[in-house]
Amino acid sequence: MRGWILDVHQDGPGLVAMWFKSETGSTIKLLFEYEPYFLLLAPSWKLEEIHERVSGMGATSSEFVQKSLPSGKFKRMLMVRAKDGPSKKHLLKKLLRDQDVIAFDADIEVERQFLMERGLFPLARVDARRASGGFELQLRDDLESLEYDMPEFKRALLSAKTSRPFKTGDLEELNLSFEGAETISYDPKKGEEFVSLSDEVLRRGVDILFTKGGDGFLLQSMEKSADQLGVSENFSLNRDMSKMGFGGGGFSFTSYGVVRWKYRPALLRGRYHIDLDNFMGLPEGGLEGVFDLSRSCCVSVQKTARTSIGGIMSSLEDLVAFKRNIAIPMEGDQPEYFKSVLSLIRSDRGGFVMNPIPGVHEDVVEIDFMSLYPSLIAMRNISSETMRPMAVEGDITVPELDLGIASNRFGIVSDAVAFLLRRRIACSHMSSKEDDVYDRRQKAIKLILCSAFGYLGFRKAKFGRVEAHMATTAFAREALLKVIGLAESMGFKVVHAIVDAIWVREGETDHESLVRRMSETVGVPAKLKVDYKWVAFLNSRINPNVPVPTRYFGVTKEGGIKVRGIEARRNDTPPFVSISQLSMLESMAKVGLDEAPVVAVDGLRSSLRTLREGSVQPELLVIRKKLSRSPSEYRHRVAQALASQFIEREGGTVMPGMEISFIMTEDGPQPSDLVSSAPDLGFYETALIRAGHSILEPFGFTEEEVESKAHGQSGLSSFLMPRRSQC
Amino acid sequence: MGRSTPTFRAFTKEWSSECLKMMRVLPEKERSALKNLLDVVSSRSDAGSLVPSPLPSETALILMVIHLKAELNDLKTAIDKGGG
Repeated sequence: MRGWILDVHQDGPGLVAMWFKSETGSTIKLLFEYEPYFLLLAPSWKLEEIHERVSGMGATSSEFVQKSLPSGKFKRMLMVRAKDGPSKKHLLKKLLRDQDVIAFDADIEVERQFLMERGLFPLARVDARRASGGFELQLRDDLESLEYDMPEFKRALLSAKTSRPFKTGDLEELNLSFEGAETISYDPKKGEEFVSLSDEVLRRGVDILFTKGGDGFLLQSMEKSADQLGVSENFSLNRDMSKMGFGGGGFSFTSYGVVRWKYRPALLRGRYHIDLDNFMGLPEGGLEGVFDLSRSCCVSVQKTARTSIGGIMSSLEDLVAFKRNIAIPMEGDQPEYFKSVLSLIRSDRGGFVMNPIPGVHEDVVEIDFMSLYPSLIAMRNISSETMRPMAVEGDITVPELDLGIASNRFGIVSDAVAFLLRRRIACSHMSSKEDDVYDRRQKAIKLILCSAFGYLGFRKAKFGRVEAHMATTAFAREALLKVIGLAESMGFKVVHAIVDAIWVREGETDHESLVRRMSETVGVPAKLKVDYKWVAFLNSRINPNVPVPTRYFGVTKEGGIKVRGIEARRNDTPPFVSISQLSMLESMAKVGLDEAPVVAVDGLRSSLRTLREGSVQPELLVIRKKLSRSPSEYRHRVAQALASQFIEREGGTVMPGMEISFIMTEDGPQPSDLVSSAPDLGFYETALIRAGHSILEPFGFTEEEVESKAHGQSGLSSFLMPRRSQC
Repeated sequence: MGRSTPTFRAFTKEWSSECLKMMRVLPEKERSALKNLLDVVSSRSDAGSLVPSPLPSETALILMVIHLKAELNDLKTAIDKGGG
């Protein structure tokens, strides 16, 4: 029979279960004998000694194999197998007490190892047939292919109502909705209702169960309630009805200086549980993006949906290394090369940023490179094991720095990145419209490519090395400086440049020639991103005499608007302020530049009137903020501290990295679910005037002037002469 | 891993706040001149970042001199035009 690999998981000692979805729609569980392994590297006599005694320590087998280190040297290693994941971990812990022993391929999950060893991948199309003692699988799919078939998934949405806000208290109602909008409600106070819910999921053959908060709260609460009602034996959302055993909860972690919260995943067997509150792929590529990444990186669908972008990148690098018979280290062990102070200062730099010329500029085009950093990594063969402290003959030399890159072998990171780049470019070509399946796939791949550069410098990256990170930025700086010079030589005025994009005022030559010459000069495709009727670059709020690169807005020649760094783009701006600011910009887009400030002030006045009349819906006043610490750890009485303390008093759980929502009221910040006081109009008025000032500042107006114009009824003539940039 | 040395922009911020201590004793018109020159360094941090140095204050001073020379050139042009 032909079908797809739906899911794979350990199913007891020495056994792996594969859920197979046939073309006819049936889903069956196939069992395979499989024992996960790890590799050991140690002095030869020690490996012999381990080989002798390892079976007495819980290993099921051991054998000597030849494997390459990431550096390219072949080594004799000991491959040790154990009956399951926990036994492997336990055995490894004991063996690694000896400091002469290094482990490889040790932290790869059992299901991935099973698939990788067989050359399979999640959602691969396979033929399954009975063979002596089990099943035999034959791959009928190609990992490189973009035109692959997917099974018809049956989907359902599970939601709940609770007795108290913030997902606390008792479950009051459970709703199971199917495609076609049919919804069945269940009473969670009755044991038989839980049984009937899991029976319904089983009977309908649900392949994907969506929840909101399933990881952090819902599935765990359901399991607990079923247990209390004495029906735990007959309630399960696993396809094989095995016990779920979810612990719930989660953990805080810091990424790029931001504290984040992650729920522990509640993974189901034989079907996918997608928690829409804990789904990394939703905004970018949706489920199609997740499916594609799951196939490409050989990570189960449920894990791909929850894994960080760095985690996906790392999995792909593992796969590349595995296919090239390279032993995969447990974590990065590449110490930084010795550097003098001057050499460190020269190397330790980011992308180049040319400060914008503040003010309003007419007829500007924004041109950027497609995936500049990933393209440079792929083109220049940048990877931890290809870097050299000093370039030797035949090496690719890194501009400004002494570093060299070996050109006689392919890097692991550069290979992985090149694979994603090829795939993204192909998807972009195959996409016929926004948001079709290929567009969603390329968006998901783009997200992973964005992490490729940062992950090179991550201290725990298995194939990372800080010099590889430094080399990438050096190549990118050189590329940007070259194109700035190129644009100026072609008669364009460069008004801003940042890392991989430039903003130029149209000159005598057409911008298509510039785009073409940029692509040729750097070797990476450049494209026209935005053709502005006008664009405005802002100064710093703290020092109004200093421009900042990340705050600008503009109107395109088609009448669209683009904003960066101003209130409308910030997550913590109340929707009413964002909408008002965008509406002011939309009005500005409809008129000439001379009239633009006038209509902006009209819009600001109108929004202020709406606010004062009290006709703004409360949900438009909600402020969302991520907590950087526990509520009790805040030293100052900032709004998010007060709101989170309020939530805790009401029985809710708030942890560092979680996002909370609240409204500023006359009695201080109150959680949006429990607002009892009138909104603090003064607070929202100030926020609105600041948002108005952001878009009027490039026209030469101070916050005080904007405030007086917004409150006043006359004096509009002063706005008829916008002060433009003097460049 | 990540960055271990400050950016020129970060240096400028720190250096500017140190230099601003002079403001306490400077006469009014020199205060505004100092503020103006420090703003020039901040505005030109992009150029400064191209010259990595263990002593970024040297680069900052060069940026100030460049700005003053450009202003002198502008004045000279204006005078020449007026005189012509």
